[in-house]
Amino acid sequence: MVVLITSDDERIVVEDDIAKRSGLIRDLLAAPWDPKDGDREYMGIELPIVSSDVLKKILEYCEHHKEEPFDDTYESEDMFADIDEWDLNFITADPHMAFEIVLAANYLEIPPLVSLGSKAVANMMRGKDAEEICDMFNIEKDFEP
Amino acid sequence: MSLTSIPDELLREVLLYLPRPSQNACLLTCKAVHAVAVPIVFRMISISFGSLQEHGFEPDDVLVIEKTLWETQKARSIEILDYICRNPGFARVIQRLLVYAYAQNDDAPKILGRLVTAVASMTHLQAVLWAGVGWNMDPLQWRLRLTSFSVKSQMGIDYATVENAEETTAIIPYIEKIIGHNTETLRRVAIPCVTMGSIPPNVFGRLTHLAIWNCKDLHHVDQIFLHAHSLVSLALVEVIGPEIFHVLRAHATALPNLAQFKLMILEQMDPDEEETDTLAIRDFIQNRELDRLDIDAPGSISELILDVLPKCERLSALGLDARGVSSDDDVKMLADSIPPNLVALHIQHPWEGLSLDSYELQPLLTKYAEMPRLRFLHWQNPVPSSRIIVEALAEDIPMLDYMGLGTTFWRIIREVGPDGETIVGAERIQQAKLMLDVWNDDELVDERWLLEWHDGET
Repeated sequence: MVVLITSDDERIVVEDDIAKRSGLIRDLLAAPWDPKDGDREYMGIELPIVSSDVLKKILEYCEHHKEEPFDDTYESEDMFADIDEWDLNFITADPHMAFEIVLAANYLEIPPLVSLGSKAVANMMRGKDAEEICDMFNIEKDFEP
Repeated sequence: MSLTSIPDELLREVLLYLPRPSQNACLLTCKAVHAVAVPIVFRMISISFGSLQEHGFEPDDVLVIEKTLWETQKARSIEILDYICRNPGFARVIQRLLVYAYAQNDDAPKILGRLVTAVASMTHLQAVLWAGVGWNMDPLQWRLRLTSFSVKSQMGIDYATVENAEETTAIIPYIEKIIGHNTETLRRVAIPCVTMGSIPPNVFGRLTHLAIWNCKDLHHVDQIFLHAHSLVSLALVEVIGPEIFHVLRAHATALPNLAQFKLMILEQMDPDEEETDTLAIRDFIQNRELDRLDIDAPGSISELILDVLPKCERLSALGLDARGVSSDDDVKMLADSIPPNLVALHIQHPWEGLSLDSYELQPLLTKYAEMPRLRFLHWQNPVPSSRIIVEALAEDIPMLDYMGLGTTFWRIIREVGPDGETIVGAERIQQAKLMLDVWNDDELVDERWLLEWHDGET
């Protein structure tokens, strides 16, 4: 088991297989550990930019995909490439969390989730003009053509 | 969280998933997003010399409307080129250049002069599509590292007229020099058949996409099948003469990686050889993992070809010249043969002026309604092109975005009504506009492939 410590100091215990969906955690667990530094599981892995809400969502994704091979080179340029129905429901359940998920998935190095989240954010922007995009994403419109 | 608080590389990924109009909207939001969006929006620019009419096409109502569109494009092209000439550093973001050089009008020298200067600054240019007759650029300007080079004499399906043959002859030396300058990097090429000899055999081995047009003399076409082992996309367009069938027969199992195949033959098949020649096509396409297939060979679509289609499970775009299919049984067989998961379909029929209730059309209408991914349907020409008919058809095809009936095109609009119901509308668009929309929208790759035989830019 691995203990992950979130930005709001919550300690979340996760199975290795699930945590290792993250390239960052996989690398940290593979690194040599000196027992003098303490019990590895007790010390945990600090994730200072990931909140517990977001991490729980991401772990839900990792749990669902734990049987799949790692895909660090994941690339998808096709917006309409078939998205798994579970993934679609997962990412669209809370559109505003999609942002947080993309950011955290990027930090945790989970490329398929970065891609899925990016598509969800892009989908929120489709068909909107500049004013609407600014309103939706709290952007101060400071560009004049 | 604000869009501006995510790292640039993530914002870039998000923007890459957007269609061009939404990317353009992002340009106008804030300076931070603008800076990330500029290299994405302007990685491809399109330069137009003006309308087709100025090249001697007879104007009719449709073309007059299109002329306005092309004039707007021309004015914008001059603005873009002026901007690049004043800000050469900006040109570094341009990776793909599309030039529609149809018109030999008073503005052409002005545009050409600016283009020569602008191209010299495009140090990261990778792909060039040059369509049209105004080819008199100094080829030395093209000493670049192009991975994709496409040239053709007209937009869309092109016919090997005498006039075009002269134009083709005039551009041969330029094409040969450009290929010569870029032999190390080229992967995608679309050129007239007569310039095939300029491609050395070792370059064929590196090509992944090849479109050959104006195929009157197939002397060099054997080279493709003998050397282009990496080819995934092959288009043989404007083929004249029966030699093509000998070539296909001789190389039925060549090009093992081929996933996209387009064959456009200009002449009606010889009735005495029709079955043998159709078998040559069938033997070439069967047992391949094709995702795009377009057979535009008058007379070839028979059960021999239709039998093969259901086995093409990966097919996403299909074009068929089904003008020889007219009996009830044949139409049913045609409908049964169309793979249900197509995204784009172009189909030609022998009929004209039928109503949607006509019994001949029912198997196909039922089929279209059972195609959940179909976004583009170009149907020639069984029913008249009217808004009512298009809207009626689109109501039954849930994902349809564009429809062509004969030579007119429509964009499908779906809106949510007051009671939550979907209201389907249709807006007539000009073919040139459709072409530009499709070219500017990376999501419409399958439609683009059917509209445009060359695939050098995808």
